[in-house]
Amino acid sequence: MGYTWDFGPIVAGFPVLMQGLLMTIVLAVASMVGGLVVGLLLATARISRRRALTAAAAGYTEFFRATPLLMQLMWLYYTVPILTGLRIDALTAGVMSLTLNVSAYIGEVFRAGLTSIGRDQWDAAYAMGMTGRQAFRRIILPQAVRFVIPPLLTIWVLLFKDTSLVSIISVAELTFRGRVIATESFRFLEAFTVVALVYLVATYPQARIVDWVYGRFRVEPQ
Amino acid sequence: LHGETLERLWIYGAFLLRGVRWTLQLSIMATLGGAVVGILVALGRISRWRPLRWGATLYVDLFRSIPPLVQLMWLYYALPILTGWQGLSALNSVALGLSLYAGSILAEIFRAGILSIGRGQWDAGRAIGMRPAQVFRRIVLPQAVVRMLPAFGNAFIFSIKTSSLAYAFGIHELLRQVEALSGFTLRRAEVFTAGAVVYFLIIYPLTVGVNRLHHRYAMR
Repeated sequence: MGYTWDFGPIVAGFPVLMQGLLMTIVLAVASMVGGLVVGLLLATARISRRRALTAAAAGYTEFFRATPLLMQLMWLYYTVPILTGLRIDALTAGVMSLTLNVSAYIGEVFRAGLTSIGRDQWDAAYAMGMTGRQAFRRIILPQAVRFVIPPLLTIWVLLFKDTSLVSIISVAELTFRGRVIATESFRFLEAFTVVALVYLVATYPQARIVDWVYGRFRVEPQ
Repeated sequence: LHGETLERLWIYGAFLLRGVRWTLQLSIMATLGGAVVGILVALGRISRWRPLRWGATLYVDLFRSIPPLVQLMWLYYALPILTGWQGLSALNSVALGLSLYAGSILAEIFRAGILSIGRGQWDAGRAIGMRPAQVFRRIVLPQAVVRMLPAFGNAFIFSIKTSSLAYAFGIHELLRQVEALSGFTLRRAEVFTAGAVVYFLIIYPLTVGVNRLHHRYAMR
């Protein structure tokens, strides 16, 4: 093993890596916000009484959960310009596919949250003389929120790591920046070691927080 | 349909199927390799010997905190340098990487499965004169494995999806074949849509099967 490590080029490129990390965070936040909105729509559609709406939302959810994210990403990147005539850049394609993918998982969490609160909670609220809206806001929603927070945080951590896939369509986030430094300096091992460490430092505390929240917030479904 | 068109579609279908074969092969390798790694790490996690417990915890945390794509890239470049063995193919490197990653997920599944078997089962095994290793192998593990089946199925499905990362290493799994086919037919929209449908046709029936398993054997 006569390998001499040389972290020089990576140290020199560290500010660029940090710009990449910033892009990773932007991608994750934008996709999470988008995913929460779309996920809420999906959950509402799935518990709606309109059969067609329920079926469409279910089909969407199953499709996005049963295909790899990278497949969805490339499908979007290559076919949306053909189908719609719109030119989309890699960043837009990246955020769109992460949003669509994560919304399928978030939608299921919201649905479980809404349906987990038993009928008797509604009945009890009505018996106290609350209106439907009051019952939802004061009784159902607070319980549903406690129920959905832990799984949403898990989804967030997975999303944070999944953003690395958009490096494949050349979005300049952390993984992509690392790859550029590696190919320019031929210091592949060093560059990827540092990229892995940056992810570790960024993700590990988040994962620990999720574990802690799980311990505290766990609400058993009824 | 024109005869010639039909023949061409047949050829394209066979081309994608070759990708399916590698996708499945990679996912099966990852899940089986991951099961071996997973059971060792799970035993480390519940061991009484502290360094072993720390090592196993570090393993799980490390592999869960770093994106699998970065793990695969690191391994791809690190293995030839660290082992001095240049003959390692991209396929083997990726299969190993996917196994190590699946191992970190399966370790937690094994751990939960083993811990779900009550203390009484251990006591009963010991009472009839078995050694701890025997109790584990003959009493605890078989019961744990049955309870873990749904989670194991999920891990396999997850591996199929993760195997698409092999695309980035030039391995001719499904996604790579889809891209190649879209390149030489120049029908990108159709080919990518077909590729997504093929993935769906593989994965969706498996999720239905896993849900059935879940209703029968879920951990309580």
